Amino acid sequence: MMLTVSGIHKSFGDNKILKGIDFTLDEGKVLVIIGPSGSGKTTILRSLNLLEIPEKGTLQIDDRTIDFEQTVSQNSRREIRKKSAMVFQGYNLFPHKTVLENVIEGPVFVQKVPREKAVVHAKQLLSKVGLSAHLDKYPHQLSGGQQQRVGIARAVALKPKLLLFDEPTSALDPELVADVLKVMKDLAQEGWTMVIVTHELKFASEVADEVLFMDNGVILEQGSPESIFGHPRHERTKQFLSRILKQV
Amino acid sequence: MSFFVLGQVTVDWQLAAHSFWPILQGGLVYTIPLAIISFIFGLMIAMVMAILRLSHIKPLQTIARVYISIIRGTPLLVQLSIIYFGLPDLGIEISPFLGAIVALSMNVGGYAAETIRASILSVPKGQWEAGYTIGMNYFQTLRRIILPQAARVSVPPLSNTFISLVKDTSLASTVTVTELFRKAQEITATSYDFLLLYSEAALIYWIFCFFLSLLQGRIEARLDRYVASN
Repeated sequence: MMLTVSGIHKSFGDNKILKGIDFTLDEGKVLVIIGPSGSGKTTILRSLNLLEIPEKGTLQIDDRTIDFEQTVSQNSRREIRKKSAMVFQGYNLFPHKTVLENVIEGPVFVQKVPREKAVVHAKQLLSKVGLSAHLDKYPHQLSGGQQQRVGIARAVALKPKLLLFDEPTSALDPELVADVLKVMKDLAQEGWTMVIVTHELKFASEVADEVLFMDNGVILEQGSPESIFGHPRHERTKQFLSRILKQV
Repeated sequence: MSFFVLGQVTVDWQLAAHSFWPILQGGLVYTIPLAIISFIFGLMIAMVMAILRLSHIKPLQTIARVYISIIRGTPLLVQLSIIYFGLPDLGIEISPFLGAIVALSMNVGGYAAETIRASILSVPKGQWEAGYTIGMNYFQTLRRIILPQAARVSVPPLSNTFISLVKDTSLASTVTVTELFRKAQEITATSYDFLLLYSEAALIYWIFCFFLSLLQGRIEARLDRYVASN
């Protein structure tokens, strides 16, 4: 298994956000997490990158495992964090660095890849996401959709085992969404292992190998996109899907 | 009845011309180096204090809080006097110039710490997370991602700190550093032309500070290059 999540619990104060989350993911597969806001889907995604530290449970990515009930050393945190890279809803590009500098920052500064090599790789990635003409621009000079594609290139440049997407199109104008989804579809086809939190159900049904429906801190339903979208078993899932589909 | 007497004002232009260079020299040889060196050390102290203040470890926060409170709650003249006149009682004797550097650095450290802390806090949390997600640790993210952005926010208040510091170096005259103001004082000791010589000193301070504000504008413009113009 590329990814194993078991018994993850997380609270913010008295607020129990995750109440025992378990799932696994094979290498090269795409997992889409859907659910109403406040269901904990973003929190579980952020836990995979250790941007949140759960109180209980274990997380295994690739050849690393972390048990949150033990005190976790900074070193093992960093090791497991290196296995994944996050694409944020708000892009979170570095505003003081150009597009190219954003993408090579991790490889050059953290992974110590020689600069020339990192630049070649970054240019390939940026051309793949359609941004070859914007290498030396600063993030504020780009549209939201372009910024998010830089965000994706920045994550992919790290060559992580796991790509994480936290509602990557939620902050975008509708006409900019398609380009970003296209890039993600290409990545899925290339065989990247991906975990995606999204409200784009059509996209989810096209790209997902597995869909999780979360509600109120638990996984209510889990299965292939056909089964979740076609034959939801739980009343909550049906309600959620019909409400989202009505908006479209 | 009047509380002041307007006498005949005659300006001794010859004295003005002769004294200008020695006073300016005091400024160039002592005032400016004193200000620059103290500012650099002061920023280092401030950075450490800001990081302690932002730490999640209570005792470290307390150390920074107490330091900042003492520096801000006592006059610089008193701090300087304790270091130069007081420390010899403990067997620690330092030169006037070094004493002034220590006192001014510690003073800047206390004031700039809060500026730096606030500018670090002004950078959105997502920037920290972006640093972490590309594999950086706390200090790498601070140095590569957060501080360059915090710098833009902190330039105006830190420029104020530096300009205040340039003027505060005049207090070093009390511990016999022959900086700009002390030079002027020394000349008044023989000429008694207080108005002229102290005005001259004021003029030179003002020129220094004028150039500093020009420099501030240039630094701000440079750091603005990646900020959206809106």
